[in-house]
Amino acid sequence: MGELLTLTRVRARMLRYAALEFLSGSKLRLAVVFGLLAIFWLLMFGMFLDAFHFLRTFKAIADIVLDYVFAFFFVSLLVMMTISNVIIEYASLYRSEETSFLFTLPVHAENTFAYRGVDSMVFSSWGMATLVVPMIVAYGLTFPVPFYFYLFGLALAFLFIVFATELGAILALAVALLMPRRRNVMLATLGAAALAVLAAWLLPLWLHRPADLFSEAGIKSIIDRIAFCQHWALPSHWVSNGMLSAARGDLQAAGFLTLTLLSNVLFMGIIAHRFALYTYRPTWETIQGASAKRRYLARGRLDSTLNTGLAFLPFRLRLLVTKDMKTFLRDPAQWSQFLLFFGLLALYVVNLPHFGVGNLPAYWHSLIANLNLGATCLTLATLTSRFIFPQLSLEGRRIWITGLLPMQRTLILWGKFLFAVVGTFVVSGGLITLSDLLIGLPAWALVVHLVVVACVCCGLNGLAVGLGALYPRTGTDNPSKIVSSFGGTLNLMCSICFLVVALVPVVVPLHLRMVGSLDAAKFALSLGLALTAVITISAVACVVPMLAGARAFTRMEF
Amino acid sequence: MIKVEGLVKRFGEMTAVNNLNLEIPPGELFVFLGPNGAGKTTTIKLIVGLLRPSAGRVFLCGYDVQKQYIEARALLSYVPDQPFLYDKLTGREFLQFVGAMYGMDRRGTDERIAYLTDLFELSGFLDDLGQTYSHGMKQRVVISAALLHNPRVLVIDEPMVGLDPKGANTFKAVLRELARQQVTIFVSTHTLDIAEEAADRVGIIRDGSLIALGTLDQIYSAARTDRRLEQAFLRLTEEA
Repeated sequence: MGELLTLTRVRARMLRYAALEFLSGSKLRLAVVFGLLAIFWLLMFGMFLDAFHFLRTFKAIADIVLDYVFAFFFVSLLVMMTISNVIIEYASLYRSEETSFLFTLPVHAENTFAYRGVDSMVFSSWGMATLVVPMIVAYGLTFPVPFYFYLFGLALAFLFIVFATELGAILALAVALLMPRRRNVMLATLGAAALAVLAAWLLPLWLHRPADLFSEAGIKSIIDRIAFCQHWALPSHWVSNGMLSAARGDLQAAGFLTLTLLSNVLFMGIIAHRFALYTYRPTWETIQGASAKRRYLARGRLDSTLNTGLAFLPFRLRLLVTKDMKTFLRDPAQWSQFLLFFGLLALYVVNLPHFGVGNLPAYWHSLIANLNLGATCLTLATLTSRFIFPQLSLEGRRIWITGLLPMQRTLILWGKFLFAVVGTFVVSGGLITLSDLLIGLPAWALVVHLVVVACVCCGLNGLAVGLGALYPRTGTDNPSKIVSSFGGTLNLMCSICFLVVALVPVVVPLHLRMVGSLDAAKFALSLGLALTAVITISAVACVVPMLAGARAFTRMEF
Repeated sequence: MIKVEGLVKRFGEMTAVNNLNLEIPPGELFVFLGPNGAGKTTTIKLIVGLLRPSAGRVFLCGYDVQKQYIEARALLSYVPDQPFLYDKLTGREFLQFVGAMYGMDRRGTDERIAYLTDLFELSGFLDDLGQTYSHGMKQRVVISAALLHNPRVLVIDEPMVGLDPKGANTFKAVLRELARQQVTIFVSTHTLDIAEEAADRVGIIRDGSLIALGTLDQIYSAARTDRRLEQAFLRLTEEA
């Protein structure tokens, strides 16, 4: 216990110094960070408030619907947080330099395990905290709740986070124990398992789908499929039911479920501790001793494909783009997340015809097509913030290579931009084409969507590369740290604002035309204006940060 | 050649390099010594253009590093103290990338890579990803990349860290040969062997200022010591 206390104290001290450094920094930066946090929090709060007000209109069945919504919400969170914890815990337990250092000290392995566990709990769960608090407050303001609802809500959310961390830690140890030498196989297995579970869940829904999904039978079939979320043995059920019991004044049930979760958290803690005691040190040693060597053929098929595909680019720019593409394709941690995000979207899009979208009225037809466009663009914004923004910072430690080559430094910036635009447009354009074709949208609407996606790709990548050069964090090779920096947060917020401003002008006339509220002449005029606006806004979002970034990058010292 | 005129670098209140003047002719192997935090790496970064001077100028073969940087960089190679490579490229791909960026043709690059592979014994790992290399392997690849395009000016920060005795010996021989071929070599190091065995001139920096400059004999004489550089270095840096 003394060891763990010492480690935690050191980490707390480091956090304190980091916080002091941050607080004593630029006042403008502080204001922007806290301002963005407040905006994000208010947006989440507004969204939950709106959703709860909508659910309240169901009156008689509001409680039943809420039971399902809460149960589904928390079971989704449990799955996402567990997967996130497995990945973060694995990296933290087996790949971190700090962990290697701790193994040279007279510290027990299970204490190192617990210390790293607390670390990854904070890292993987802060998002959950920012989600749950506005949800609890919004619920409390919409429905009449006793004061202790808030206390139970926070306690249950905290215990839920600890539970997911412990489960993730145990699974990370199990993965290391069962597949110590195959990190890529492990990632692929986890991905395949997640997709298999999803498919097993979706398949019966598809096979026994009712003709009309919005009929009584249709809604019943959906409820049947999510009924498993209410299973008494699921920790997510204890949380959702505990919160709702507290909200409805059933103190006894709320107390019982909170204590059930607490006892399970403690029990899982004991299992994790015992498991770590016997397996952590041996698995760490096995993984450190594993060889990850794989021979690559220089100027192989990938090089010649990229060389041919990018032949239109100037020679040096082509070399830089090829280097970035190869780096990306050889890093499963990068492309697997990309694949997961767009894979899930593709799965949803491919399933659209099976939900009878083709038979829906024009209003829903248009709404779904435009929502798909929005979802693709939002996913794109998340991915450019996650993968493209850190690119320049990651180049920082290697600037002695590219920064000293006999060329303009800005070429590096344009290389990253082109790599990002080509990569993101191929994926998102393909997805939108698939979606529009499956929904049965007219060709002109597809063309408009593709133009919008191309503009959005330029705008988002211009923001990510430009702001990445304006706010670099060159001292680390960890993309997560770069993404969570001030510049990363600013980029994400700017990207979302850009999407709102760019998408609304074009989606509104498109929707009005598809539902028949706009005649051809007015539509042609408004679409022309809308497309001009989208192109202009995207050009500004792309060029302004790129030029500012290029200027900063040229003057940057390393 | 390297010409440094009135070079100053300030970081806020702190002056890291203070009015440095230096001229290193072609074919000279110049060794730059100094205690930790004396300003060696800052000076090197100013010479190669990774930092901008607060005052003064640096010329490489007559080209101003800040104004005519493309011409200057075409003649320069730099070996940093921390050999960061691209983890997801193999050593061979990295060398081919550097060769192509310097405008070398494919055949010439491959011939030069083959020569450097033999010289620094890279063949055992050159087709593995950079992420699997030890510090010494990275250092050998970085040195090979620096020599790939036959630079006229070679600037090296701590070249011996991570190299095994054989690699270090080969590298010293390569430096002597390059100097013979009229390449200007600027080496910053804590390994005094290099200075004693190969340096034409030595400069000692402390607190950002050059406190001694000359041949080994001139340094011994200034320090009033016998022929031991370690003693001379300690005396000069403690007296200053």
